[in-house]
Amino acid sequence: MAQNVKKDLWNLMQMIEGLEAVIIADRDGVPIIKVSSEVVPDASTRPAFLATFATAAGQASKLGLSKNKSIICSFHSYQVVHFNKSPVYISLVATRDANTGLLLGLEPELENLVALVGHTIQTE
Amino acid sequence: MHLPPQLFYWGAEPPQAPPVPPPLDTVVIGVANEELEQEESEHQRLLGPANGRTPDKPMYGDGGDRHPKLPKKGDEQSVLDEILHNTANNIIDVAALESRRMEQQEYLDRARQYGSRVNNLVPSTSRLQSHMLQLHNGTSMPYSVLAAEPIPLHDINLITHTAEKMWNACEGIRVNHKEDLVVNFEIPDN
Repeated sequence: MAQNVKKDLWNLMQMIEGLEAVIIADRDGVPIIKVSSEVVPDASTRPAFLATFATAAGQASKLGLSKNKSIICSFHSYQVVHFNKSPVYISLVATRDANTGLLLGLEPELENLVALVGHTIQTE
Repeated sequence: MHLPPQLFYWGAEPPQAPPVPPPLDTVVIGVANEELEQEESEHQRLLGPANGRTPDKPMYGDGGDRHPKLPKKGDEQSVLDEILHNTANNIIDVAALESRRMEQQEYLDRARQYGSRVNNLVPSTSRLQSHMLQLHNGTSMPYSVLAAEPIPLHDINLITHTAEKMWNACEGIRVNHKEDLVVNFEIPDN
């Protein structure tokens, strides 16, 4: 099953120009499903980096604007879009020229997969 | 002016007990109206119990109750814990967060555990269903194709009319049967 899902995620990545990695991880940054190309910087796939978003999302939810849904991080060469699907967190790593709107539009595409994978966290 | 009796609350207690001030969630209307009908609803409260509370339990403090209830120590602790819990949930304090660093072995173990669970979770025939419209794989860069100059309207009309004529021509094709397709040959025996 994991191979088929990775293949489907890879096909999904090909539909968005500039999207280099799709990572589904838990709160501590441990990847559950990871599909990435060769050009993705290694630091963006490490647990320390991925776990930062989970913390930031939790704090952002206390701003009085209801629960935080997503965070977009723009860097000089890359952009990272995170989705808060607690207890699972999705991270999309793309080049700076990628269409951010299309990246945000991937959220409903990954909804079903995340709901399925979320059970792996809850069954702990 | 006639007021319905259910909107009027006396707040008076029976003569046997000393008068008790009304709780804070009620309003005493001191209106001298001879037309008011004092039914058994004179003790009825203006506001119903909020949030499932019993009417006798005030929302804020004890409302000057003549029988102040001393809170039990267990209740005090639970209330304190609840206040602390709510404060911790609502306060934003990034510096106070513990940056828990996972050990390499724990990280690998958990990653392996997730991998096995994902493999066992859904049968291998399950695929990711994409709701996005799939472009044909005729080009590796669909954006450049879609962003190119559009086809002239004259060409589109030419294509459309030509296709329509061809379709009509194909509709007029008829098979004119003249001879049988299968013919029996008589081969001599010698």
